[in-house]
Amino acid sequence: MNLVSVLVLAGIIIAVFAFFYKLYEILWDAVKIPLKKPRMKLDLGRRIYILIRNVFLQGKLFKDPFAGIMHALMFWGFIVFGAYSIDFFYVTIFAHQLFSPGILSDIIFFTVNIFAGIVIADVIYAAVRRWGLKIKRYQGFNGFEAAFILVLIGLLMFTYLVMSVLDMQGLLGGYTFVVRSGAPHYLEPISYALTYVIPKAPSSYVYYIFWSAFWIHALDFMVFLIYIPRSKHLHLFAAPFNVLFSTGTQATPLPIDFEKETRFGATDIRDFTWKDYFDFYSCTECGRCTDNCPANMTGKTLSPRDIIWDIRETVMAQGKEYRKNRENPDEVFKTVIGDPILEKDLWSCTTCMACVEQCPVMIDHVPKIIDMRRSLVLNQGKAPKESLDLFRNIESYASPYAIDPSTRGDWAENLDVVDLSKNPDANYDVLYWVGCVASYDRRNQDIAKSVTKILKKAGVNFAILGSMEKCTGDPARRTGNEYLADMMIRQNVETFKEKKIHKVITACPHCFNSLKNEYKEYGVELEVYHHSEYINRLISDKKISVKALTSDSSEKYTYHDSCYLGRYNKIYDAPREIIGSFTENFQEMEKNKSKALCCGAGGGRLWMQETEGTMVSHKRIEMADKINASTVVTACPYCMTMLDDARKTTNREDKMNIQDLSEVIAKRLE
Amino acid sequence: MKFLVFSENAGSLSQMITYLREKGEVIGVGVEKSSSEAANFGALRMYSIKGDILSDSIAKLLEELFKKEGIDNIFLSSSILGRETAGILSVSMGAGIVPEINEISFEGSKARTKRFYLGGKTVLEEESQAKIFTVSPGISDAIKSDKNSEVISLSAPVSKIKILSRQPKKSEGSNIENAKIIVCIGRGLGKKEGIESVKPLVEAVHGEIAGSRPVCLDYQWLGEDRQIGLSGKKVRPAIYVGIGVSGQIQHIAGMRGSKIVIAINKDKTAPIFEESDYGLVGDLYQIIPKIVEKLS
Amino acid sequence: MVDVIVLIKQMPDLEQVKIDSNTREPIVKNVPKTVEILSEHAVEEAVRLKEKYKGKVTAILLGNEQSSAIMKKAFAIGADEGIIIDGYEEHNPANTARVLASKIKEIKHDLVILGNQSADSITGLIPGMLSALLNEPLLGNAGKIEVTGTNVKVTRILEEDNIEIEVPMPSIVSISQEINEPRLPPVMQIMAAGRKPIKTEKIAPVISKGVTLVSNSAPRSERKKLVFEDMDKGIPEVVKVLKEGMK
Repeated sequence: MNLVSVLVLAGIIIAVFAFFYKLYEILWDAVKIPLKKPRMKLDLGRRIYILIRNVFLQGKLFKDPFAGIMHALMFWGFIVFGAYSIDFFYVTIFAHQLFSPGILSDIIFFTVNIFAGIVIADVIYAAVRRWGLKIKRYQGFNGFEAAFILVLIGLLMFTYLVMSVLDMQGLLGGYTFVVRSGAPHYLEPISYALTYVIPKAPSSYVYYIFWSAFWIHALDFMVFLIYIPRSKHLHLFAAPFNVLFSTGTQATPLPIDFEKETRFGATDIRDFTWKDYFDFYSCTECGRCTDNCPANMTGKTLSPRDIIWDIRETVMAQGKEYRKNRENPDEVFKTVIGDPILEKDLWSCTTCMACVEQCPVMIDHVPKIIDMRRSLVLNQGKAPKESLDLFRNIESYASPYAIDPSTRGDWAENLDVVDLSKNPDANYDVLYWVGCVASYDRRNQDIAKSVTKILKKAGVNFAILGSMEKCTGDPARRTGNEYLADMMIRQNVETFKEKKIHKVITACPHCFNSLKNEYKEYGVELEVYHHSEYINRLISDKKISVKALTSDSSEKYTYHDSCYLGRYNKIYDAPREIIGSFTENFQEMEKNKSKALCCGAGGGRLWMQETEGTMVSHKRIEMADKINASTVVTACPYCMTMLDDARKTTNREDKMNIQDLSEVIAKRLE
Repeated sequence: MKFLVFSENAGSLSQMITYLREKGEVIGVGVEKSSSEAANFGALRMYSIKGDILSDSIAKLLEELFKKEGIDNIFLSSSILGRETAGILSVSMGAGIVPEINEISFEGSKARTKRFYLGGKTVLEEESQAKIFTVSPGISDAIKSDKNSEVISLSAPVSKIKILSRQPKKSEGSNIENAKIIVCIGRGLGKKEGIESVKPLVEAVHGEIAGSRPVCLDYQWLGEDRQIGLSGKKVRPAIYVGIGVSGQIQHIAGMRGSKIVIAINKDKTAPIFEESDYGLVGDLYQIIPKIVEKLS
Repeated sequence: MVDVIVLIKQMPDLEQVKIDSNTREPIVKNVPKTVEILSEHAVEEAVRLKEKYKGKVTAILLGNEQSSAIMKKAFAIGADEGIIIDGYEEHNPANTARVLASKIKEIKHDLVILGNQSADSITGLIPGMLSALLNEPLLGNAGKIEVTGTNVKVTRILEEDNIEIEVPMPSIVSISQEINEPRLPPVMQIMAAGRKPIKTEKIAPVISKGVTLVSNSAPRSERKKLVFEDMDKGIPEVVKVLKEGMK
């Protein structure tokens, strides 16, 4: 071993140690801080699939195509460069190559050379996006960290190319050990191309140029290793694991055992799970979440990215403190609500899941926000004034409205509908779960009536629960009042069991999501259909026929995706197929399907006032207006309420209609 | 029969005197302002109380006047002060009391009264030997009489309660109790900005704008002093126009005295139509501009 | 130290009272009882005073065994003791006040706090009656309560202005709705409230004299009820009425 080998070996040992030491500290936090348990299933098939799709193929990144391609190339470049770097250090230390010449070595050197060029271009592009184009979602990002990492990556590639070009120009002489000396030119196409651009250096400089490049390259790599876990680039290590560990049930908040637990929801960093810690470690402040957040888009200060980042910083700081002071956990762990996370931001969330949908590393922002709402409501009794009324009404009247619950089925009077609260022994095949909004709200009662008309026309033998139906608990759950939600769910589950109900159809995506995905944990398995799925099948099975729109009609339809139907349950096609069954006069709005903009009503926001910034629903109506839609079709009573209001308050009544899927079909039944 | 009628509010005092003057002799009691303003509604005498008024001292004073004047029944307006005074008085006199009446007739010493019950859902008709009544505002229109009352000034007995300071209320200066035409908005307006669409109508009819309970209390689109209803103001305008008002019973109890009721609502099953003379079923945002246009 | 008695009123949930379409009489049977909203504000205020000045909050409720849910809510907010007086079913303010006063006399207190009226009958007589029966001054319709030494100071909200008034304790304070915003009790307190014992005291029935009920029924409307769905006919009609009214 010569001096260079010894120095490089010592350097790399220090860097690797520093890398793993920080990882140890981080993982120590996740293990030693008394955390909550996540909902985990083995679920191997899904895990392998998402690992391949979202890590190796970088699947979720392409939702933002320009940044996505850039990042994917950088990522793949990293992997091949990793292989190259192992070889680089191996050959430096042990003086012979790890990958002896052959096909594997050829492939590595070829791809490394190609990617060196691509990554340098990438680095420049990334810098232009941040400091040149000033793309909005990077606002508030950590500029130093971003710049530093780009310089490190750039230098690593640059120094590699310097050495490679020197070699190709035949100048390297005795220092050829670090490159694939004498390789055919076609194996190093970028370097070969560069030899035409870069003149040969005078031989007296070669020594200095080479050793500068060599040491910069070696040190760059070591700094990189030390720096990664100590910066936001920890995501390089954490994100693949975060994807692998993703629960797949992030839309459902964790259950609470009120008999056993004494503190509820998330108040300080002890109240998260180790999976949440991976979320925090995986965040690299890319800002896709905040960029797609409806609250943030309409001038509210809520930023899902900042929420994740603020907790991460708190975990880092308080974790460090806890490692020193393990005797007094209550002194170390202080609440994150209020400072740094504002209470009002927690209440601005519509739980639309746009942030979760967009996040490339599968961070679950929404359940954390709900958990912090729970902390406020269940531990401190803090909630916006309007939601106190909401809670009171659900408790007293089993619905968000202060209306006599015995009148719940009154909308169906004279419609000849089987009401199980009046006729308990009736025979029926399907239960139509009406939901509170369609039961009590005048505008939305038309949805209930239209669904009834369609089901009757198709000859479906259905019944409603009438006054036995109660709020599913969703508004309470999403506003953090799990105690009340728990009570409502148990009461409904009791009814389902007592009435032996299995098959349910509902026109409310919020009820749909609760009944389909969340009631399982309470011991009732239901076969639940949203009316969009059900009506679509009635049409394709020819149980109903729908009058086509005349070709000279000037009507133009668009469809507004409901969050709880779309992102929560991946139902995007059925509603569009229903509209397609009678017309081709259809155009998508900006932001549709998985990228759809919320109406502003989810997460209990339907019952709260929206005073900060502008209204989300107004923004959505403007998008519909931009494509001159004459009818906006919705599939959710919440969306109906918000958009119908927005249509009126923005003076678009004359040119635009809001109609539920069931209404457009009921009107066109033949 | 001889009645003692007290109110610190001139409007209530003159309404009560108007209503009772046909049924017997009326002796009025008011504060300086209310007694002078209500002095020509047919009361035989009008006592004007000087200085601070608090329920315990007013109760004492009324009890003294009751004895001195040989009164059969005492009527108090059901204001905050009136109700408290009535409660104290009924205990100290050991007399029966019927609250919140909006109608009364006598058969001998027996009184037959009506009042709202169950939040305005029903009307209780009761018979009693009660001597004390609190009277719901708007029991009658105030109609002047050609008889002027003799005004006698007197001071109230000393109260146990010390007044430390007075803070006048910041009021928008609403005057919905005296308005000839009231345009009342309800939840059906949808949004606070909707008020802008209603204002042209309010101006065109030279009316006052008022609101239902949710509009004034829950959403606070209008001030609390513009709330009509059982828990707000009770009004008797010549014309009441309800816009997007569904007609909850608590609201109806506050506007039942209106001469003519017009309702505009998109929901034809809204209960307000049961309580209106003229109803328009349709979208208020389309109907109002058309009415305003035809009025000008 | 301020010991507070807070009076809780329960009443049938008015939203759920229906009218018999034939007799026009209310159907009150089986209608769930609810707490009168002002009582919740009263309990909240009593607990806030306790938190500020220390002392004890005793809640008194006229009801029966079914009323325990309402009492538990008061416990969850922070009431220390709860007494349900079982057996009084009258709705005569004079008797109600007498039953309450005889209980209040047995309990050491500095303040009696109650709502200034209740939403079902809206008589607003109880505060005055209690004041006379207990011979304690009444500070009515309070929007703010402060205790200074042995005195209580109240901001009394009146129609025209607000006045600040003061008396030595003990005294009766009736509160207006704007005095506070009742809290949502934390879950742990709700659960603890469920385990707390409630004192139930039976009393002999009180029969009211003097007032006889003639009828209790929903009024019939005598309106014209001309409802137009065709605006071309409806709007001119309404405009005519409005023009007439403006004269």
